[in-house]
Amino acid sequence: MKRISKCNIFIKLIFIFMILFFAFTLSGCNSDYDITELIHIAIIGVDKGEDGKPIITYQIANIKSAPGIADNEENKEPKLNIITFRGNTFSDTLDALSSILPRMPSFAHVKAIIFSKEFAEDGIYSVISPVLRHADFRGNAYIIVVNNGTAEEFIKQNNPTFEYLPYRYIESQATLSKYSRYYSKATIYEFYNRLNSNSSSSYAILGGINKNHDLNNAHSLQEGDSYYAGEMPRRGDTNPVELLGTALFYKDKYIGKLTAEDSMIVSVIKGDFRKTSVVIPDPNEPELYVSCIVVLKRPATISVKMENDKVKINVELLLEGEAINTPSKINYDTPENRRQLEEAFTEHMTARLLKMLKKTQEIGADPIGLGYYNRANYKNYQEFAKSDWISLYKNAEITGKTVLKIRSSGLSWNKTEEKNEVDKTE
Amino acid sequence: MSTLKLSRMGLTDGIILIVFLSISRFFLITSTEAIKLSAGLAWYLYLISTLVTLIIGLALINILKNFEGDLLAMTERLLGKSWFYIIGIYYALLFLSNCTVLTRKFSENIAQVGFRDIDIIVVIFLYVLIMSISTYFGIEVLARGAYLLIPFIIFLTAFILVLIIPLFNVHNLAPWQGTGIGNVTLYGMASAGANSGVIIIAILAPSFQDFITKAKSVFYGSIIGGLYKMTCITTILLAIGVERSKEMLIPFYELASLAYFDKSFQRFEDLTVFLWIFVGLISIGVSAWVTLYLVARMLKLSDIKPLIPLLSIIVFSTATFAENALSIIDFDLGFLKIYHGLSMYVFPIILLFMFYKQKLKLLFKKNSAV
Repeated sequence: MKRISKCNIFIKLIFIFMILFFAFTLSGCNSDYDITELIHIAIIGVDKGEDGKPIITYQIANIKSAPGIADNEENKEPKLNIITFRGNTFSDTLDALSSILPRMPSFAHVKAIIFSKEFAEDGIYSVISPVLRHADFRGNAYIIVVNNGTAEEFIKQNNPTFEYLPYRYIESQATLSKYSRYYSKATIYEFYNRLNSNSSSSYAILGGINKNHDLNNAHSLQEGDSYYAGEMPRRGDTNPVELLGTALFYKDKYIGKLTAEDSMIVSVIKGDFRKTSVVIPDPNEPELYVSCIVVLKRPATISVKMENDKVKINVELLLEGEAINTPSKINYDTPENRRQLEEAFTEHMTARLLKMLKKTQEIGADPIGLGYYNRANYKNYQEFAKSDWISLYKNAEITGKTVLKIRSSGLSWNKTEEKNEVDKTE
Repeated sequence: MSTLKLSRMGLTDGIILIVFLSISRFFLITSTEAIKLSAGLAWYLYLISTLVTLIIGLALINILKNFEGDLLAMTERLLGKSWFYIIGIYYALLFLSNCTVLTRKFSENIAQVGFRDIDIIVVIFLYVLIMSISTYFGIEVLARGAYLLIPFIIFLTAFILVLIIPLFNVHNLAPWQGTGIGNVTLYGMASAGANSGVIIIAILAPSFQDFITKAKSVFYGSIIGGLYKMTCITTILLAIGVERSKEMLIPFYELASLAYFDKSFQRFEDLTVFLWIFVGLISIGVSAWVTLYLVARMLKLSDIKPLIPLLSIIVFSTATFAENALSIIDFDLGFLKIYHGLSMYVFPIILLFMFYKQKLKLLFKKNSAV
């Protein structure tokens, strides 16, 4: 009896071993490539040729220049190689690329696909579609539209100061969008989902090549007409390439853009941000500015009602902040003054919110995805499939309010009053 | 009566067999089909199909307790010798088709994501080879080996689903009635055939200790399989939405590709490949073994092992028969859906009807005698 049971255990162990062995074999682990047999494409740029055909730029990561290997002073390897092709289709250029490379091109680590505005205006489905069908590509590569210039130029100009590898710059920037907040993270996955959703519009990160160094005419990002990517005046040894604003699409065609300020409001409504600072003119001394660090107290309250094919949208935001910078030396820690400041912030933020929503209506795009809230208004999916959210959104009646409550005054309290005293004694 | 000896199996074995047979198709195109049919209410479709499976499975086990032996023995007693062969051939073909379709579809998926440079014939050959070896080991080893793999499957699935949570958009489930509650209920009932693996308990009835073990196996197996499918489909809908999900050929793989932990720790979709392979290999092995068991039972053979090479050749040739990956999907969603559906409804209902008819007859006889 004991012998039989030992035999059974032996058979089971053989069986488990066999399953595990074949699990590794069948999953393709045997037909993998050594890293030295591959060439990793990091960024793909897509421009429109003179005859309308795509010009595709591939930025290839050079493994020999990787940190560690490249620390060696004798290593003069470039960080990356850039190759550009012109073809009838995107897939055409993939073949061309394979034909000239000594190793297998791998698209597993593509970080971003960058489009020129001209190409995006004609529609980007011809590029997105093969990407989604190819098992090598991943849905979390970022989508960028270049505001001023070509994608090829953008890739060539991308020379980050604090990141060793240029494609890392784009990945890090996009990952930090919830902090830097002036653009919304846009991935292929989200772009394509929105393209098919009939509940929202696709959008991309707006990128640009900065050539504006004139600080005399500069203003705050949250002031006036704000900026689009490539337009924010700055000087210094930083990357000429910047991400600022949002590119809006109708289906797969680029139709307009949002400024840095508008993009921030979009992020706030979508709940895609952690913390931001809001700057407004001081209610008592308008020539000075008061700033407040703001967090979203609770997710935006959005209601979408449909009455006789007319949509009514209401967006309400509750923000919580701490007054951090009050150069006017007015003590905003007193209950009356704090209320006055809260009202000023509320008024300012509500105006910004409504301005952004009106702008998106005029452009004809819904980057927030307010249409998702409208889905529940349909009885069933067949009814929903017949509707056209964007035409409903363009004619929608939108109301909105942002309420800001100041929760604390930062690490100091009543400090401004003490300063006044000092000033008086002086 | 066949002299084929069956090994003893317990509650866990029964549960595992049902769960594996019911979730194997979920990793393929059936989840996409469920979303196409019911939109945001796909979880409800699985709920209905699970309930139907549960009712039919328990009813079958309940009448089986009045007979000695398995499903075929009961059929012979209730309907006669010809029905013994009709039902035997029908279920043997059902498990054979399951075996063939799963082999081809899992091979196609693997060829898409892993074996891209190798001819599909080679992948199918490997699957058939493993199927032959597993069938040789027998159902007991397949079932007990499978539950050693369960922790991996649960861990991999839970890990991927948890990482997907940040992508959830609850509005993706709206309109809340999907394609209509009535429609989805009907689709759910029609798609119960995908759970026809529950019949395995009735086929292997003599292996299980008693009625309670069989009933519990059906109950827990159907519930666990159903819950697994409902959880996964709801996650797919919440993260990806109806419109995009309808286009996907390998939804679970694409769902896993969205899981992102950190820029240095990603690409979890490759873990799902192991998941398919575990589930696929076990399901194909079990289907092959049951096919051979039914054949041996009908032909009164004492051993199934000599039939293994023949079955391997049949599975290999039928799996390579389809011209391309899409035609096998069409075949599965078309013909097999009806075939599996009939196996869940027609024969169990005929058996139930005959059983109660005989019971009533006996009752009348008793009463008239009194």
